Amino acid sequence: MNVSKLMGRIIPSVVGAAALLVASTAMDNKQASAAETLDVGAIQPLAGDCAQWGIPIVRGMQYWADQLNADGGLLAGDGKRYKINLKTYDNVCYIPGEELKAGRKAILDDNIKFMLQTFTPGSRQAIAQMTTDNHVLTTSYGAGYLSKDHPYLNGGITGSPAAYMLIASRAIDANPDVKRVAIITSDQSFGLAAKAYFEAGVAAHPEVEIVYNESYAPDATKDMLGLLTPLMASKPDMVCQLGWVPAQYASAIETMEQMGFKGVHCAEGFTFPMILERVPAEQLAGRTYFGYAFEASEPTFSAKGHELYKWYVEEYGVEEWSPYTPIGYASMMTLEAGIRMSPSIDSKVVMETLYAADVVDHPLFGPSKWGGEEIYGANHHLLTPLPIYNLDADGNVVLDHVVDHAAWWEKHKDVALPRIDAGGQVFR
Amino acid sequence: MTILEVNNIAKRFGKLVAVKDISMAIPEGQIRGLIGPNGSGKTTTFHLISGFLKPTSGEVLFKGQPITGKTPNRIAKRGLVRTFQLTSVYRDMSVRQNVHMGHHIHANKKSAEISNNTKLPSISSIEDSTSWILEHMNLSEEADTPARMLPAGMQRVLSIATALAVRPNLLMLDEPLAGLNPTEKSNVAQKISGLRDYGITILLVEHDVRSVLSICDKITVINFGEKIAEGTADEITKHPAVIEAYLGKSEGHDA
Amino acid sequence: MTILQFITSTPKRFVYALIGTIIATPLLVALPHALTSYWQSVLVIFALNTIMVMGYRVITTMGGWSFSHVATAGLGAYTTAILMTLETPWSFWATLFLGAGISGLFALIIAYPVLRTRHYYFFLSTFAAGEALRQAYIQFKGITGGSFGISFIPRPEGFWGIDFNTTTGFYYLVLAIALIIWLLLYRFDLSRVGRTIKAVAANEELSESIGINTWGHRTLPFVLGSVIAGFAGALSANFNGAINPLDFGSILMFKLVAAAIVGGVSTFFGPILGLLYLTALEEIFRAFAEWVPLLWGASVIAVLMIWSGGLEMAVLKLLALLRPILFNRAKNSSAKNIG
Ligand SMILES: Nc1ncnc2c1ncn2[C@@H]1O[C@H](COP(=O)(O)OP(=O)(O)OP(=O)(O)O)[C@@H](O)[C@H]1O
Ligand SMILES: [Mg+2]
Repeated sequence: MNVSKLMGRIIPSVVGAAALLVASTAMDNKQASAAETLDVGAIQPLAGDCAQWGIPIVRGMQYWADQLNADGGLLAGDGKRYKINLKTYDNVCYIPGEELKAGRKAILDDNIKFMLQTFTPGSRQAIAQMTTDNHVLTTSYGAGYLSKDHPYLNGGITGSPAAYMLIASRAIDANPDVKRVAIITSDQSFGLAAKAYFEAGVAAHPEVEIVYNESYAPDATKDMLGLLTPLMASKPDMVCQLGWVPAQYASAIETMEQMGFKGVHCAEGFTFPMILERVPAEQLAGRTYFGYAFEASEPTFSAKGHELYKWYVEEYGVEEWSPYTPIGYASMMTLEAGIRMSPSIDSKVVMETLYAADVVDHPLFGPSKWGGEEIYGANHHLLTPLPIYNLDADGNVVLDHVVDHAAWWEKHKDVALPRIDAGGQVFR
Repeated sequence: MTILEVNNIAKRFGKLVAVKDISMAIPEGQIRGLIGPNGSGKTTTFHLISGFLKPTSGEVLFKGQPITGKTPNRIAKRGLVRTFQLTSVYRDMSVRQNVHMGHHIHANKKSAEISNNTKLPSISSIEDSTSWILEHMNLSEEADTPARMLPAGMQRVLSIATALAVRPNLLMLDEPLAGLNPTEKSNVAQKISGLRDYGITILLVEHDVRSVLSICDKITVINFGEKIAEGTADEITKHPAVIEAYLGKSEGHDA
Repeated sequence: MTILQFITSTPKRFVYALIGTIIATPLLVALPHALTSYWQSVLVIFALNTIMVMGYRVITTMGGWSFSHVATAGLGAYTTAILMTLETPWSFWATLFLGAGISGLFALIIAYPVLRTRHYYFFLSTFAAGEALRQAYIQFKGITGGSFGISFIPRPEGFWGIDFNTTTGFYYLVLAIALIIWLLLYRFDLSRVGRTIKAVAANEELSESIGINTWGHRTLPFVLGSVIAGFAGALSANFNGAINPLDFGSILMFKLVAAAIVGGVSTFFGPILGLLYLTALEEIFRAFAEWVPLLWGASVIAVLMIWSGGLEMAVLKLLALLRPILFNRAKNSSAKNIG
């Protein structure tokens, strides 16, 4: 090969690389010039299978930012308004090592001070030290890993796994006939956590018995009938389930209904469009209890939250609607409340102001207290009220009840905490 | 003294019996030919003796010691080296590097004198020994050529040169003359018969019957995995079983 | 062997490499001070991965492309993570060498079944061994923390005024170990054993026939490369402070294989060059992280299909082209001097 041929290959690559370098630094500069902005980071799965969760959450966050920006920015406690600039980072399906990589980009490269991430404990722990060292206030849609050593990590809303406890308990309250409960969760870490919390919720009702309580390996879902036969044989009045992907919820419910189940379904959420293709709404009406953050398609819980749904449907179409969108939206509001209260937008001051508040006035859920001491050894979990929903005969989601999380816990923690502990979910 | 003794070795590949029952004894210093029609089991016999295949039954003694079931490298270290029917060289190494690599087992005492009980000239370093072998095998001019660039015939010579670098007592050559032109053939045949002067015993598989007859002291003939005859060139050419085995085939086997 | 003999028997190329390393060291030491904290962490990870690919290349010299390398590195990582988070924690240095040893021991154990296979089968069997190991990380919850992994792994105590809790301080630790490994491996590569390993890879049958213990010369690089992986694993557990079975999965493994393909493995520097290229891509496109694996994949395909030999060949060809130019100039200038 001669020089010119080789150069013909090398020069374009060098030029290309240089151009990319210039382009990437130019992008950095552009954003540095905008004044009075507040960068907010989101570490979520943005590609691949898990993006079905990550993307809707990020969209919810984007809507939150857009609303504030349309208002002229978030009015902080220091009297200034800050435009919110959302930056997203991929954790490649919740891989802790990738969470750390994304965290480095967000925290070290982009100097992010306010952030949302998953509650998955492995992912939270991966960046715990970095958030602490760099004072990055990091919220999540649930408690996950919390610790007094890492105060910058908080649980922004009730979320996972505490919601499971409240749903199970509420479903029993609303259906006094329920005497026998079956629990089925996946054997992954979040499934095992859900199992303990379902048990804790049932424990608040001494007259109710758990008749089936098993974890399944994800590949067991190929044989739904085989998986659910022993469960149905235990003759439950209520089935609490967690860990299915949306299509599996549909087939699990269809299978149980076909086997003659007439009792109550409880879960963190149901993808009704898929389920209603298989089981008529009249049949399920009043028998499905669920709740996680809030269901924006339902207008009565929060008019403001319902606007999110309308915007989303307009933007992406009704088929694209995901129950995960409100999660990102509601969680960011905890940080919003902190920034509004704090005398400074310094993340350390915001963190201290938030924890010092006896009651945080959450823009969506209203007054909420901090909790978590008994489970995590630190009161870093905001116990937001949990709206619980049901289905009506027309296939619409209706608000069933709003559980006051803090009050429930005060009343039932003596029986609930031992169950959570027995499930290996106490990390004090 | 008998350097190699093969007792009733057999090898089966599934249903196919490649070597049925072969025995032979080769005295030290002899040039022994091993001939037979295509597919008669010559290469398989080589594999069995040199350890590349384990015999289904039978045993092999080298210098009076059993070597059956030993790995080829350990057999080579004892002084039994074989070449391959399909030319085998280190393609990306130069000719010199190939022969140098052949000295592997002598490298641990590289500053000491290379010696074992062959009568190959005792030379003080691997480099010198390599040069001597290249010279002796007429490869000096190509010493720095990558082996893959050599013509096929020359590669064959190189593989013999590399085997020689191990300083074997018994050298087993599998069709070393294949692919050579007539002049090269007679040159290499002469080199092979000359190795006797260095105390190297030779077992030679070759289809070129004329060369075999001219350089071998004794010839073993096999067919269908069995020994059918053994003797001097004269005895073999008159042996009825040999004539039958070879007449059953076309005349072109010595091409 | 006397020291004098060792020095005189040292290949020239190694002497040059040693001199080059000595010259480059102050630059490498100064480097983090020119970088932001983000780029410092990129640098540490690059140095850690350099150790990984140097180990990986040792394995490729025996002709096999292992897919268990990263899982094996996990043994080093878990050893450090487990022993340093005990109630009475072990010293980092003890866990570092123990972890590397365990990685090597694992390689030695799987060598027996795995090294019987060649080509795709070697690839598949090492993949299976790596997956089995990864499953073990998940299943033995009691000691490995299962899918949660192990968090809050402390860094080692500093010395000579270097604080390993800072990124720069930790970089010096990784740099020192990387440079030692590089010099040792480079010397090994040029050694007789190193050359014999490559001969076995080039023609196993012939090697066996001339008395080379081919099994040993295939096992040695496999084990040695795994020991190096163990060092890298232990250091990375320490740097990240948290480990998880997913850290030792196919993403990193693919990155290493891609580095080896893109850079080439016939020279020592090839895979490092490949790693540098992949890391550059990753960082240039860090705002579009989800596209990075695609770019890596495209680079691998490009090298496999169009630009065979990879980056190392480009560099070698460039050097070969420059040599006569430089040589001529040298000749001219000497001619001038005479004139
Ligand atoms: N690995 C193997 N598996 C199955 N059959 C084999 C194997 N190796 C050899 N054979 C068979 O064994 C028989 C003897 O083969 P071998 O190669 O020993 O013959 P050969 O005398 O060397 O022939 P040629 O003169 O063609 O080199 C043949 O039928 C061959 O097909
Ligand atoms: Mg043959």
